[in-house]
Amino acid sequence: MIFCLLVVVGLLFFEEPGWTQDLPPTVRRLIAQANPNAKIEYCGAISMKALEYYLFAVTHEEVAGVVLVRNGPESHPTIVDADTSLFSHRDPNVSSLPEPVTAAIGKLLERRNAKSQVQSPPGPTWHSQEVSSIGDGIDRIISPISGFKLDSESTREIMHILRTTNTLSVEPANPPPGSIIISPTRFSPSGPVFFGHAGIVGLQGSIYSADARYGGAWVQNFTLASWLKRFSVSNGTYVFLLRTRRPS
Amino acid sequence: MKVTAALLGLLLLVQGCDEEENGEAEAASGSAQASKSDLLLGQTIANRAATNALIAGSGDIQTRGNGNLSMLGGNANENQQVFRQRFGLTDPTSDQLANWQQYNARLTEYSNKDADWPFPTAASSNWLGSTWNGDPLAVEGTTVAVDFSRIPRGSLIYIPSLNMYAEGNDTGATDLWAQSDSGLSDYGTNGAGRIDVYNLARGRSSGQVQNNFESWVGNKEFGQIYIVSRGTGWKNGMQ
Repeated sequence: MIFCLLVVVGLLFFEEPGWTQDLPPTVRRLIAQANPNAKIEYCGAISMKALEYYLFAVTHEEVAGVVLVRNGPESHPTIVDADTSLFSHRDPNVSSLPEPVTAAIGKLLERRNAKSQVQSPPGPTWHSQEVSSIGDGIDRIISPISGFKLDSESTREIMHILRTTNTLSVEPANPPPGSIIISPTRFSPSGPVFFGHAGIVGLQGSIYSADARYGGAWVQNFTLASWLKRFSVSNGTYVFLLRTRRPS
Repeated sequence: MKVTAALLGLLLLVQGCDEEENGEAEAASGSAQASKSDLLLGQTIANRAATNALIAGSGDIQTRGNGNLSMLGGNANENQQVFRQRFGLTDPTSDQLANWQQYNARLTEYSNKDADWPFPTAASSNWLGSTWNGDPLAVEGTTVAVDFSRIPRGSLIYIPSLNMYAEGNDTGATDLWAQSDSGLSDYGTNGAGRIDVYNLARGRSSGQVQNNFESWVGNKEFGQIYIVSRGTGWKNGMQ
């Protein structure tokens, strides 16, 4: 019942993609300043007790993500979460947000995707409430070969998975072909938001990843040099090589 | 107060970085040497990553450009269609794109509502009589302003994010451009500088035109273009 109420409230706030007059100026200012040069799409609001959550889908060149802003009675909005995904499909209980809020976010993003006719190529792990398909893109490459799946679109979760499974951490400056390269999302509660990204290192310094400019299609869109230039300072860059056998 | 808030924000951001670095113990990930079989697995993955990749800007993948130029205002769609029919232009194939020169560009818009662009535009003398249909003014859906030092006057270009062919027959208010573009990125040797797409504002303000354009393209002042043909020769050959 509570969940239904939250969703209904969320949908009441739902507007066509783009800015809306319903957004408090402080929220509008925060989200714009936190994501300069990005396309920002308002997806809807969620009310819970005295708090309002405002959800935005953000696209900046190759990268897409989600920003959640919380505003209380004192009207001092803060960014409470931002990443290429706010969901954990491996362990739904790890979210720092109240479960009803997470569920309402999923509904708002599903509605947003249906409305904008997001047509990501169907893959083994893509979910209808996601705005990014970076993990799905990687899974479609590595899963048939290694049997291993990330099953996540979140840079933070992918980073955690790669650090805690059967991989070898390698130098970002000289990664072997086939390594997974990742730069996790960073943000501060008052901005800025630096969305991260993940992809696969190809031959001769090429990098392949799901590209938001093309609906998440898998393309060669970076070189190692352009990746490091884009992400190293703001996000950090880490590279992992999948291992065939666990180290003894 | 503002300084304190900024420092606090920076501290939190830095703390986030530290948290990542000092995350929980790595169960299996390590920094040992890669074995031959690890490298072979990587090689197989790299090959599959390459063979599964689609060609950006080709018809293989869905781009933002869907052939609807209505946000450029007026008769942009109709003008683009007539322009294509007259010169035998169709959506480019991946082979064509591979043969055309691709450049990064600062993709911007201008309209008849811009304060520095009185209508007819300040730069109309630059291109008067050069439009494909003889229109003495800019033509929404086919006119772009380019830097003639990088793209010769009258060149045919293709903008994949709009799925739009255009002729570079406007050079903007050259002095003003040089001033406002000073210090901004032209993407170096692989850059086409600024590509300014003409919009007919009609009921929209200058700012609304800009917002509409950026929202449609999905970026602020970044994009790719292809130079299909340098100079005006393509028009003579195809007319």
